[in-house]
Amino acid sequence: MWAYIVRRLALASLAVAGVLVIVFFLSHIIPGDPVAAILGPQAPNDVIEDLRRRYGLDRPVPEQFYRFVARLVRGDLGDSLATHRPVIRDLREFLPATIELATAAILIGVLAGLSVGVISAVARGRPLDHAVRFLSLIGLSMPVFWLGLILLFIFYFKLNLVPGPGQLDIFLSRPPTVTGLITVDALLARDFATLWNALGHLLLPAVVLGSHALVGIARITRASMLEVLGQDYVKVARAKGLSERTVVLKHALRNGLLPIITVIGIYYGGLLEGAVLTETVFAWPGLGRYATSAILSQDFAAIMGVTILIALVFSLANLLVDLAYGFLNPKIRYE
Amino acid sequence: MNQAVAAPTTVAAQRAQRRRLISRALANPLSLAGLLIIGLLLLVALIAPWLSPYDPIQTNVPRRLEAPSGEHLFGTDQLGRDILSRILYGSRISLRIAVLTAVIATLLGAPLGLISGYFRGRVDDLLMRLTDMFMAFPRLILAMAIAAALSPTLENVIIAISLAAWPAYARLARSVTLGLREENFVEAARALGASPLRILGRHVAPGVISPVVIQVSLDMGGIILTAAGLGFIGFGAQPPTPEWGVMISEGRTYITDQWWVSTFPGIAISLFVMGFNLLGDGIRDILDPRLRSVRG
Amino acid sequence: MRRGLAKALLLLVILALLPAAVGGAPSRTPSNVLVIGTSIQDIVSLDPAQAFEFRSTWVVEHIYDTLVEFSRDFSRALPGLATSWTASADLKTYTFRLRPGVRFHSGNSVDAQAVEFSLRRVMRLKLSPAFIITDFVKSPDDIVAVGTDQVRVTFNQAMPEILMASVLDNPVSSVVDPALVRRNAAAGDPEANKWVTENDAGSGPYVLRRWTRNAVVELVAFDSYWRGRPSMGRIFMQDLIEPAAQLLALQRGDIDVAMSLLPGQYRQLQNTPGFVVKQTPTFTLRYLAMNVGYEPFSSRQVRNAVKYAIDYDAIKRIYEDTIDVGQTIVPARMFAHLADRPYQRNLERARALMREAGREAGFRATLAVSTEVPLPDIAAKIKEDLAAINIQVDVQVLRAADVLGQYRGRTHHMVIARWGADYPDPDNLAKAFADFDSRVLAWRNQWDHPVKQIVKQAVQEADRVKREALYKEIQKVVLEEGPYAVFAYPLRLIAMRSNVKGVDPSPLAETFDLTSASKE
Repeated sequence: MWAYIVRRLALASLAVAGVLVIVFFLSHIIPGDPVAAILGPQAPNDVIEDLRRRYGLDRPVPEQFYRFVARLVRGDLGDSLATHRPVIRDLREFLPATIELATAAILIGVLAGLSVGVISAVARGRPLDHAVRFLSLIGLSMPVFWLGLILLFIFYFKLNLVPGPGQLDIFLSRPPTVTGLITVDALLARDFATLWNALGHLLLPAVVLGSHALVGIARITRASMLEVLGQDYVKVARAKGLSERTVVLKHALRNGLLPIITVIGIYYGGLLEGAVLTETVFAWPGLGRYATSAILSQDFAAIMGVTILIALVFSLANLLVDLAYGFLNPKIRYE
Repeated sequence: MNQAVAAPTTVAAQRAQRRRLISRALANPLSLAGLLIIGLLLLVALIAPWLSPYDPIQTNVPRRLEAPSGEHLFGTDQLGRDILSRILYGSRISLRIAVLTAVIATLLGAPLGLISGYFRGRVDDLLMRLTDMFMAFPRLILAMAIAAALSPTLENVIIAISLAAWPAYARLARSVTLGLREENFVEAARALGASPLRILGRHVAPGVISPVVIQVSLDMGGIILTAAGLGFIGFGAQPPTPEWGVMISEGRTYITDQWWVSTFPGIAISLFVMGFNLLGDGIRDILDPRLRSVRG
Repeated sequence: MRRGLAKALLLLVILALLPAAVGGAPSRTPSNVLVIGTSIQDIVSLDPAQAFEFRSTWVVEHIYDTLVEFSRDFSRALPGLATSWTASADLKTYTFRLRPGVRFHSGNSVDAQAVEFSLRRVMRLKLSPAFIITDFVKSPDDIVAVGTDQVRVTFNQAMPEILMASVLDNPVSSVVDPALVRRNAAAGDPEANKWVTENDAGSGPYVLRRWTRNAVVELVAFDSYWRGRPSMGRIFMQDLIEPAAQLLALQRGDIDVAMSLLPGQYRQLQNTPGFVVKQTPTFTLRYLAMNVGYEPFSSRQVRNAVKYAIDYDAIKRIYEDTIDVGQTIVPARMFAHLADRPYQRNLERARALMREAGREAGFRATLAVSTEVPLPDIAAKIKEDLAAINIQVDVQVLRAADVLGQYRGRTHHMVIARWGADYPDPDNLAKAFADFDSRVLAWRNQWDHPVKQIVKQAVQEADRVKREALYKEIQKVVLEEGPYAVFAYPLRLIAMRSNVKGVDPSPLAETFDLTSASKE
């Protein structure tokens, strides 16, 4: 087991290293001028040259790469061109907002996805099955940014049911930082007004972001429920005269959970992709926006920092999924 | 989810399976609806020039932002272009993105998966680490980085998404190949002294192609949405190309008052993606061996 | 089974209705609070020695004070922290007398030592905006406190009062609290740049309450401000990067002022009761540049053919009328502006010019443009316009970094770009557009024209009338021969609820004075 984890970690770091090399050279061969872009079209040439020198951008690309690696080994991701501070501080500041959003999204995706999956499995082939799946597919078929704007327009602007964009009403101040997650911190501080408000702000973006996971989870739930429902022990349970509800929820769902957990892990790792667009629409101060603006302004250090973080999160999520899988299913052995 | 597409082993079995697949797909209401939508869109894309009442890129600034009317069924956009015509022509763009991406990603992924699965060992390790690397990175962000590195044309958007999408197909092709290489007919060919190239080309590849193609078609909706997302952030097709994602993005300026500018392309893209998703769901129903065992 | 199903359905319904349970906040902001929707993503540092982006300097201006201030018409300097000043005969040395009794937000008093400390600190830190001071002051020793209430600044050249003011009114010349800087200095950061970046060390009308990156800046009125407490007690700058979301928030009443809407959205609000869109002229130009180094554009006829092919009226419509139309390089309302507008879409004239240049068969050219709305639309329109004279345009919508990369690297064929006056004098624009030797726009477009001699002559000309004539001559030459098709002087637009008053930006600034804002 430990040997397996170590091997997986080694492979994961190899993958991360590969991603780094690719992204580094990819972002450095572009002919753009990030320093000029950050200082604006009218900055004097010598100011631009000066900043370029300060960030070592006047050096040949291989030398820049050597310096980047040398710094990385010391745990230093360098300074962001756009924010003028260490990338590591930026990441630490923006990551919690994204974790909060992604977690809420996956919760919604799991709750709704499980329901949809169970319903359509139980009603397999009947109109209800098709209707529920059809409805859930609508969410998957709309571009995330468009869905976000439409929901904002309806639920915030027209109906005034949820607070607007942002993480918290601006009149409220953030609860004292413990975890960096506003909802958790508010709960810890027993500040229920703030908690309530933060939950309201979280709702729409989480629904939008969670909509894709919802469909994926619904699909796999349906499939694995159908499989389990056909098994002998479920037939036996039914024959014993247990209520259908007990059969479905106690026997079938519990045993069908295994593949579902796998999918949840996969989607959680992939949520950052949706976060890029969702965070822009909902003015969410998270990593997705940081990544977008880093790529847009060709902020090398920030691009590399985000790359490392995402690759790590993704690899770890995969590892955890595999471990959880083995934990839940002792038949699987790690070689 | 790769195992969703099981590998048929012989050519005859493949053919039979394909026929079964089609008849089952027609029987399943979800996939039937999906097929109908996709068929309709294909038709529209094919005859767009005859259907379109106007030139999709001809501007008419004095008549900008006109509400839907008999003259302009879907209204006009911020440059006075006919939105209906742009959407009709846009179906060609979206199809082109989807199909070309699918082709490129398959051509990249499938051979690598074949080689990886057939030769195993070092080669396999190396290639699979490569796919790990690409898969450890969200598609949109990788595509953004690539689209930024190349100059942003429609072709480069396609290349960017393909480069981000191929590893999944490599994985699938590999797993299918791993199964096929142990089959009797492959063993037999090897015993007869056929070269690996010949075995791969004649015996293994045909078995790999159809699951990969099916998987790709299931992913087309996602491909189109990724392209639209790129357009939203500003890495999309170049004006005046009537790409749906860019059209929604431009139209959001007018979301409260001139709703038609973003709504119609939004509906178009959702319908298109919906078609692929419905079909995909249907095919998954039919192919998933677990589901079949329930039926059987 | 029925019950299980019903339960699952119920769960779905609850999920769908959950939004309804989470109530919305009251949708009007309180009367002594001003909420501004904008993008604060560009705020990098609130340290006056580092702030350089326009929203950072906007905040800095309100937390800190400077010695002098510009008058509204930029014609003279007004007292700030300095009540009066005297200049030496050669206009190189200024001595400022400080206002007595002014205190920092910390309670420490603002004295000559603080001024000396602050300006020298900028020169020691040497961050992005430092050049504004170091271009004119040779060494930190040239800034000297005389006693506790006088400061003497020696410049490296003669400084007419306006030029002096453009240095000392700039936010980089803000006075910071030396005691706070020293207290928060660290080993690797002797000037406490890290601390001042996120904290308040000023004496200005507002106190920085908090700055949460990419979320909000909150300012609170400083009760004992020497000019009197400003009327808005609290100011929030809320980060709303997506214009559509900003518009919804303004219409819902969650924000009072929207700063970064798109032209179409401003237009829409103009026609909505309860909202006001403030339009102010700016000293900014939008133009199409043609690189003379790209062979076809080396011909003056071809360049002018392009100018005649463009449909300027359509561009104004695409801008939703949020621009002034003008074609010369000195914007309207600035000294010496030439109001000539010779170019209208005239295809015959344009085709004739192409023939004259031997280019009637046309050519291909790229047009680089950033993603800023509505520039891609304008590029699409220009592509169509130029197709009529056989120029096949490949539009490239790129990131700002890439457009600038092409432009500065002189590899472009055409770009759409902007220029905003750095100071309110035609010299700034003439230098940029017509003087090849100052290595700005004429250089980028490889247009080396003898008119540059007039530019050098005009800046030295003391006689106002003669000077005006020289600038008009420069504008005429650039208009007729230059590689630029100027198509707009954009207006500054700020949308607000109609109860907001006193929002009055100057033509030079992107922003407005928060102390004069009020609500009814």
